[in-house]
Amino acid sequence: MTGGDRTGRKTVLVVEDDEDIRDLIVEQLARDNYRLLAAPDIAGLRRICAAEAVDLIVLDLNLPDGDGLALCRELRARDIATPVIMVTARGTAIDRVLGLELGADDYLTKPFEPRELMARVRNLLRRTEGNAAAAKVQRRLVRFGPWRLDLFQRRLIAPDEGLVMLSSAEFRLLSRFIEEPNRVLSREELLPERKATVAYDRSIDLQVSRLRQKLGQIEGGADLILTVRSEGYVLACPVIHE
Amino acid sequence: MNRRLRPSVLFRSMAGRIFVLLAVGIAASSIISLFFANQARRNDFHRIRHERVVASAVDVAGRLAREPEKTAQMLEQRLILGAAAAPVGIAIGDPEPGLAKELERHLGAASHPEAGQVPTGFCFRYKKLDPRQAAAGFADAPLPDCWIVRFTDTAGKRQAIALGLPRLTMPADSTFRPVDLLLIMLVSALLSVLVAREIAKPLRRLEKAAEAFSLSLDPRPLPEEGPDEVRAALSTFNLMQNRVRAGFRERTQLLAAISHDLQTPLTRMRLRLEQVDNPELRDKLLQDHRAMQTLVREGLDLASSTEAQEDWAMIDIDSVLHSIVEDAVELGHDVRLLSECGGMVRGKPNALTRCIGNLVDNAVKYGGDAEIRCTRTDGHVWISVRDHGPGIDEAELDEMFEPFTRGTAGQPGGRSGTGIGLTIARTLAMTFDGSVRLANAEGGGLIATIHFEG
Repeated sequence: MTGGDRTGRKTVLVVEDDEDIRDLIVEQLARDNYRLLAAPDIAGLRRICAAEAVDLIVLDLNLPDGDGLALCRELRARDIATPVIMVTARGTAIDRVLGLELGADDYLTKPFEPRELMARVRNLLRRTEGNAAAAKVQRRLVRFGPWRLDLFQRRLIAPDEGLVMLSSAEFRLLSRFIEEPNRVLSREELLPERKATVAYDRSIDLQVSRLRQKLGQIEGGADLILTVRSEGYVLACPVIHE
Repeated sequence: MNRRLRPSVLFRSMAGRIFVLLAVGIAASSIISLFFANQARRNDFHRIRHERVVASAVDVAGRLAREPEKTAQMLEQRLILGAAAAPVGIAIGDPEPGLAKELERHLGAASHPEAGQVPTGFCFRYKKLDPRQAAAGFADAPLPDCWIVRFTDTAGKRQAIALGLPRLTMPADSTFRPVDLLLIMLVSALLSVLVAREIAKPLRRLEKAAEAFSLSLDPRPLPEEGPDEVRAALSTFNLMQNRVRAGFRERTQLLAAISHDLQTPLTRMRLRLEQVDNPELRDKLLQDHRAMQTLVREGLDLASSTEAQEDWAMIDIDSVLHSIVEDAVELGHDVRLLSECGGMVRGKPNALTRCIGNLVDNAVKYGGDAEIRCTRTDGHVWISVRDHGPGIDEAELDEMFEPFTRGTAGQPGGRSGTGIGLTIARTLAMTFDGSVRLANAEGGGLIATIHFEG
């Protein structure tokens, strides 16, 4: 469902108690041609959501009449899939992990670059377009083979609770495999940021072999990622979100 | 072991000093008391000898007073066992004034007694009897002691009698037998060890606790047990620990609060900057904004690093190092892992990763590159990060850990950044009971080393 007006514009709701910042965010986002609504608190948000369809909420964590996290949880509990970008000051007790766990789709810390906010709004809208299910609550742990992957802390957990750290590249790669287990992924699919050169460079093979090495340290972890000649790689095991 | 036994080492430690003092003291005092006991025994021996002489003399004097003639005759004819008239003209070669005084007490002041021991031959005249052949087994024992006592009897006549009394020999002196001495020393050494250890034990605990306190941000309070004085000291230590911690927390909270509240105006400022049309002015303001933002961010990092409540976990140490290196390489930095540790270590994964990451960032920022090495022995882990930059003056090495210190202005790259990275790294290390040290490397560059037990 799209809450846009007749011109097809998306509706973005900005919930922020600081009037200055609220206006400034609205002003900033207006450059991208969204239909913009604003509310100073949770009561205002409820009022607007009851009256209109909203495509995306930019939600401040600390609001005068309640905190954004509770609201986020409430929305998810009521199966409302409107994507939420949580905005918060750094150093609050609630960190990124918790924010994501409670159902925010993205997370931004103040002070942020205006361009970054715009990029995230754009990405999130694209991601959830026509696909309300995509905005489901993200699970934190994924089990595959003997391993568990902590999606928020970016680390592997062995059966004996020992931790194995992943580099950003390894994590991206593994996440990609986990998104689509048991399907052969081409090198281009695995490394979209290097699409142009991936056919020539072997860095993807190197990364896969490093990842395999890490996964192969424990029993049953050796043959999780298989090579499919001239096609790519496949994660050959069931993936369970828990 | 050898080192521990050197006297200088023994005297440096309190337990050692107490041990030496006690061991020497106990041995000396028991030897001295043994000496005095021996002395008393000797005195007793003399007293008993005198008492026997006195008893004999008083008996003879009594007889002389009752039946002077008969007694004199019996003495002359040696009819009284153990008493006889003294040979005429015998001199008392070795008079004993103590004995004389004792006799005077019994016989009266008018008796003017004199007494002394003389060789046995004056009492007995064995012509044919050689006691060594005639008596079985007692060497010279049958020969009695011979005493000469002279006194004035009640009739006013000067008497001289020879008293033969069974010989008393003092048993051999046993005080300074080597076996006894050794036993005394052994026992006193044992006792001293026990006492020294007993005294040093609470101090050790206090020392351990103080060390743990200096390394950790979240030290456990000491159990307050033991004798009163020890308990008082431990309780004071716990109090101090709490106060220091409270003060530290307050400081951190202040820093966190200020940094946190600065974020709202900074956000406003950043959004407003979009409206500045003059590009030159806008760039300059953006630069200032970025600098302020970095400060705030690192202030928050520092605050959160001290408050990190992370759980301990077993971590594949090499995976940490590899992931840091790969992430840095991905950003285009010259970072290498030169030696691996292997195996799992106990630590706090986020704190450890951020701590190493901070040191690597620093090395790259100030030294241009970073070489990571990991070594591990006996449960100790050392992770060193070396750069090939200009290094730091020896004198300034320690200062580098103070917040907002960046090498001297003269150093290349010495003026960028907030200078809080090392402080954060060290605080992070403290959360897993580790430490961070800086040293200049041979051949130039700086080595930062994280050490912890894991």
